[in-house]
Amino acid sequence: MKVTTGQRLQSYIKDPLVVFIAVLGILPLLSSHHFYLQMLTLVFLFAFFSEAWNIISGFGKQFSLGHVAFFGIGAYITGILYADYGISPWIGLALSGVFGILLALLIGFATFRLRAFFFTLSTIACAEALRVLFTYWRLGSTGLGTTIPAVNGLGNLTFSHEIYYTYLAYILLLTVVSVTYRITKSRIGYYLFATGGDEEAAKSLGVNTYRIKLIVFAISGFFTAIGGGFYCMYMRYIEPCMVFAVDFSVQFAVFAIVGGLGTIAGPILGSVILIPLSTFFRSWIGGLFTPIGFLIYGIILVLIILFLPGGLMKGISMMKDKIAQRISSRKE
Amino acid sequence: MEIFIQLIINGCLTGMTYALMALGLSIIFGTLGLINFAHGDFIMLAMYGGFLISLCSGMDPYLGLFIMLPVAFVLGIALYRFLFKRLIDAPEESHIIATFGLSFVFQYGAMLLFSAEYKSVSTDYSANVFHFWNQYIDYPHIYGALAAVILIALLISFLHYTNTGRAIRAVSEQRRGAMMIGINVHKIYAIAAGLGLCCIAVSGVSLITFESVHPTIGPHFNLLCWIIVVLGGIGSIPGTILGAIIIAVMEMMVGYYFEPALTTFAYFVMFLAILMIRPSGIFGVKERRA
Amino acid sequence: MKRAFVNLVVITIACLVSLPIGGFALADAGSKSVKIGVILPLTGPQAPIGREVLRGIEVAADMVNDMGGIWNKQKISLVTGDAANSESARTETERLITVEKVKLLIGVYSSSLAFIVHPIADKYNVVFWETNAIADRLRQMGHENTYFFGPMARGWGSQAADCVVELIAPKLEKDPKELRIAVVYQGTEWGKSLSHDGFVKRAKELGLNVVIDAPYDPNTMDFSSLILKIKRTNPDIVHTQNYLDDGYRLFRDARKNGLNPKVWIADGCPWAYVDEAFQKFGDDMNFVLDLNQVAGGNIWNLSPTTQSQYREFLDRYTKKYNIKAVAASSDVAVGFTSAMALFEHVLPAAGSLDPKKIAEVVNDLSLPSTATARPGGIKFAPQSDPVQAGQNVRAGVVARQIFNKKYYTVWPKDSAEIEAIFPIPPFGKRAFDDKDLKMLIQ
Repeated sequence: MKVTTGQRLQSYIKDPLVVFIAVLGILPLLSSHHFYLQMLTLVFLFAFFSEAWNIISGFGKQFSLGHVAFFGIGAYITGILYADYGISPWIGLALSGVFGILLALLIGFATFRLRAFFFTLSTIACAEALRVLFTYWRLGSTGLGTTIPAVNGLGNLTFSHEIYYTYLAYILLLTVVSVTYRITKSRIGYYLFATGGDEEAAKSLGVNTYRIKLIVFAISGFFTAIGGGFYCMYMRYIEPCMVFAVDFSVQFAVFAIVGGLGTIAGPILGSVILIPLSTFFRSWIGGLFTPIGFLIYGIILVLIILFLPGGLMKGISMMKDKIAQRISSRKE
Repeated sequence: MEIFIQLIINGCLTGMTYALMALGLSIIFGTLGLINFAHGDFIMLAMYGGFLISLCSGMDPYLGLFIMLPVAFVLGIALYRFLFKRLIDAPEESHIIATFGLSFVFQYGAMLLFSAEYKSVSTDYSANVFHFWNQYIDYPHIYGALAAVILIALLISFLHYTNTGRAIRAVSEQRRGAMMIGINVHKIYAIAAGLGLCCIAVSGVSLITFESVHPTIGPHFNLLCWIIVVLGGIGSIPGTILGAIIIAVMEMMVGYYFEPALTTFAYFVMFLAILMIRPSGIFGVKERRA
Repeated sequence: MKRAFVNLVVITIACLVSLPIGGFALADAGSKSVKIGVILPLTGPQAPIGREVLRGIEVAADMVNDMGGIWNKQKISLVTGDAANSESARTETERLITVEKVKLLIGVYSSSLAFIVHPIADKYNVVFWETNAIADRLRQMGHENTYFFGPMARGWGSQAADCVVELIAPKLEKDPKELRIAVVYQGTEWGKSLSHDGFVKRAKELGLNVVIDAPYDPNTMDFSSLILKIKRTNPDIVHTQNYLDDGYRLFRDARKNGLNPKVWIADGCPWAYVDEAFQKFGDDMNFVLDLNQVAGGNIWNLSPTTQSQYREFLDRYTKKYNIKAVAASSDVAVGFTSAMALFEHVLPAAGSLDPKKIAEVVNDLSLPSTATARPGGIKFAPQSDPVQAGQNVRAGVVARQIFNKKYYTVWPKDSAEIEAIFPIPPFGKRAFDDKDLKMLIQ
């Protein structure tokens, strides 16, 4: 039975993920309040990073805690090329992506044959090593920080109104979500799930797990690096300790986990909920009580792992099933 | 030449400090297989513990161990029962994430309780330096190294000459096998957790005599300890000690002969290199889990 | 049916996101108060100092309010933002400006954060009053409404070099060019600015012999190898720039490894004021020379009004925060003096928070060193200046030597309380009796 375009369109519209993303796309238009838009930019951006991380660590189960390495490299390449050499940030972003791929291949080559946890540890070590290296290098040059000149224009990826950044971040998110979706439906995705599920079994079935992991890691690195370049143009100032901070790696992971590891909507959900939440704790409760907010954050994390490892997406699908059950039992 | 000797001496002493820090991790990871990413924060809390006891009683922190050790042991058992037990059979990522959450709780909890200032303890011997042949060694580090040596000796005797100790070793090598010969694995895990926390307590107390504590110092210690444990080989206490000393000496050498700003970079690179060549670490056992 | 449910959940969540944020729009228009924003690191690694600066500003606001407030009996109301890291610095500054609608910001202490915060204030045409000394480049970014109350790194570093020539060399009875100087500093924007671009550069101009120029990673745990490297160069003077954590470790490792120069200059020594440091190192803190941008406890050469104002500040600080202010930490004094200068000398004359009015007042401002506990006095360079736009050009530093938990100004000559004592005894032999102080004033 052939599926017509009309039918396919219909199924897309009914797909909750599509609705979710569409709603997100409308959010920036709901208010022109600057703070609101800025928060949305961060929400979209971190959802983007979390999605990219999720591809290798959620679907592939190769738990990386050093993704900030790609982020930082991307930020620096775009930043330095623009600030010091006047090269358009768009080209910078593309180059950042390329370096993201190269770095991923390098790290993967060195560590993918190791046992899972050693891989994680190595990613942390790599990211930290890069941080120290960049600190050392930038120290010797004109100054530790790099300032991005503020010359507005699409060509310079610099805008006076926040909403452009918000929608650019949204486009980035759309891109990574579509790519992720395509992967899950493709042969690579098939192999990836096999690898993630049980690597030994997959290998025995003839899957070249090493190659698959490298490809997916490279894709993840590519996106993360581009995002890093965007972040640099957004913040307009970078320093090694800022863009190689382990906090980013942690955030990418936490958003995906809380939202639902290994799902497409999970990272987005995590970002949508946790970023406003932490801003709330810092800005509104504020002062001496800020630590309480983050303490609760930590407790939530522990509880989620213990009682709901599938994250919020699992929670939602469990509720969905319960309701469906109740409806069908009432029918009887 | 005498600088070289000074560097080696400093390296060994600092290495013993590192070894003391990593010991608790080695036991907990080696026996329970639990990946604890809050290890550094445990050390941080132990340091605060030592600080508080010293503050309230005026005693030397080492004497505070009489209180801290039993508390640590009980805490270890409690942690096992309520948290670690559930995590052990979960996938490794769960260990990492859950202990991350714990790390947040500890860090921000400490910030609430102690505020963000740097605290430390000053003892009678804090300033004393042992001076011979143009070499300088300070007493807090000497005592720290001594504490490490005593603890290690006690641990090794415990593990080799007592039944419980042997049971711990059995469980860490082959869990199912151990179960089959009637060892109560849960009890052993609990004891190992308690033991691990005791080591952390000793380390914290030793560190506070020459280091300042602050709620956010955990993550740095954490990475260091993990590198040491993996480098030395999981489940091997001699490996942990050797790994610690190697890293410390390397830091000294690179810092002096090459570039102080790159010492951490150097040991990261070394760590990665060794992992590639010999993934199980220096003294590690090839296959672990049952 | 199931799909609809999930869609519903999803949309609810998306709305829940917008809600708290939309609710921000209700920023209250405080009628009788003047809202002034304060952006500082209040949590995170720089929090100890950030909070001290805030306390100084709060005391200044209290004092002004108790005297009736400003303009038409309006009280100053401070709204704080927490710049814990770069991202929060950005969001908090935006929040203060766009949600709380402040028209003037005081802050931000950290050079790295300033690079993020200043452009935002500039974007919204909000006046920014920078309290501390921060990296020089920030004056060259074209921000027309940003004023820098504290000295520039270059100026600070240069003065340190001048101090070596004017004060230290004569005391050591040596030609300054014979002295071997080791320079150690934190590898950060400020550290490099001050030590390398300021001190070393000026030292070389003066023909001084810098034997080692050593930046280090702020996260370093063990400084032994660095100390040994410095020892090898056999320095007469060690000049350090640190922050709290690394400052403690460096000093500890210097003591441990027997680095005993004839003079120890701790530039902008933040770790000496904390009670903690005296607790840790005891008598070994004596004789250390601190170069700083506040006069600290030394107020004898200020005008009577300024003196009594400063004493009142110390009094209130001790009472309000329950802290024993020995000489008041440098940073709380920085916060206080910066805010006081603004509340007392700028705002009343300006009549409002309008950037143009404030600019007029600031440009005409000229106060001698007796008018504020910040050494040098107050006079701002015009915003058109290519190198130091908006900079308080009179801001400078004084050198103070530490004895038994107190600071005594020793340089420049006209501010000196006591005679400096050089060379200094080695570690372990620095017990000092206050009887041996050579007072220069009564």
